Amino acid sequence: MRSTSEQDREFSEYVRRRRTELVRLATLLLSGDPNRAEDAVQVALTRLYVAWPRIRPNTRDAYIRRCVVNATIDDRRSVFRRREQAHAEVPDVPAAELEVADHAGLVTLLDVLPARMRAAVVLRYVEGLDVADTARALGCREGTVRSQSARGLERLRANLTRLEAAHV
Amino acid sequence: MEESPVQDVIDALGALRTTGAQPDAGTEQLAADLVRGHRALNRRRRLRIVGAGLTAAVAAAGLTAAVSGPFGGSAPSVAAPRTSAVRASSAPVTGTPRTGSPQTGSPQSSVAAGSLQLAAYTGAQPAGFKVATLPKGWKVRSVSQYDFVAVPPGTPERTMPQGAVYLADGIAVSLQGASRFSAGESLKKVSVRGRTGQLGFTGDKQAKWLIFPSEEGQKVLIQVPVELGLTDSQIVRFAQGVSATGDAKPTGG
Repeated sequence: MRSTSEQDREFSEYVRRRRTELVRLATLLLSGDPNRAEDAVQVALTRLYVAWPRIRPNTRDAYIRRCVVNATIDDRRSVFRRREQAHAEVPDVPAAELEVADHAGLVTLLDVLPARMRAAVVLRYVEGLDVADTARALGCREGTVRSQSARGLERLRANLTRLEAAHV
Repeated sequence: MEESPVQDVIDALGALRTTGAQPDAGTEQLAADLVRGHRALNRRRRLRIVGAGLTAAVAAAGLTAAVSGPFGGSAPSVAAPRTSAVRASSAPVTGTPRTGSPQTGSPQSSVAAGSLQLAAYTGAQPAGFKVATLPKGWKVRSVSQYDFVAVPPGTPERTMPQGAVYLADGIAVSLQGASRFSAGESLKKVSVRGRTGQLGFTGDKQAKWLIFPSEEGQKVLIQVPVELGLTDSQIVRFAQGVSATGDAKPTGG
């Protein structure tokens, strides 16, 4: 049985290695807002610490990604409840600001996607996870990941094309 | 080969890994993450969600026999043989009528200091602990490798998520795990079977913890909500009959 100090040391070492990546993931899932992303990561890490003794080392990554995704979804829900903001359409942003290669522009386009579709796209194509790991992080079937990520890419491409056409 | 129509989007997404880079976590940030974890564990002691695959709720498993004196009175031997008046009923034992509290009162108000009696516990032993006595009439809510929880008579059942055990209304026995007293908490040293334990309030002052070493080397934590009204003496006397076995497992909390 591990002692608490040993658990704390393991946890801190794990967080030291993974925190930056987790904040990046949360930021992309939360409209590029670093403050809300930090909050979501803190929530996720607290859940991880509480569950630490029960989680096998080889499943920690999947667990914490899932915690981050869920925390960001919770955050967005609360934001929607408070502010009643919803983006059914692409934000009215000049095409020049939505260059596909532009970081902020791409984050804006990602923000239009439904939450779980956005998570599938980010985990697959930003974080570079395979379908199986993405499915574990999202708690869904691999087939769902494939369809969600494919549709997400198509919508990103279509929205970009539409915006470019509108500003020619 | 023709490039996928979304390949440019895939390439741009991949580039997000390196653009808008986040600074590495600092020492203070890591320490703060740890502090938040510790605080969450302490809160969790009040309403702990126990992990997968554990804790089948034990309904009315308290088979007890009255063998001893007042809970807060002169010390009976917790190793006393379970001889007298064993009750083989699945219903909670009806011990000495409570004094100073109506039967219809809340379970919390029903625990009058000095009026309770310890009774030998002869029901199912938790896989991870040995519990020799219980307050008369109390019901066992949970028995597992992770915990042992008993509640006063009249305590309502709690609907909890699967695998969860509600701890805020009864005595809970578990390993200390990662739980710690808050810094600066005033702790009382007590003796539990010749070993020194510490008794004090939880950080939120809603419960008392008695943490003491067991024969197997683990530290046992007994949590008693303040609202139950047990005295320190009563808590220590209950602890005299509690030990952890080698099969005890710490919970996340």
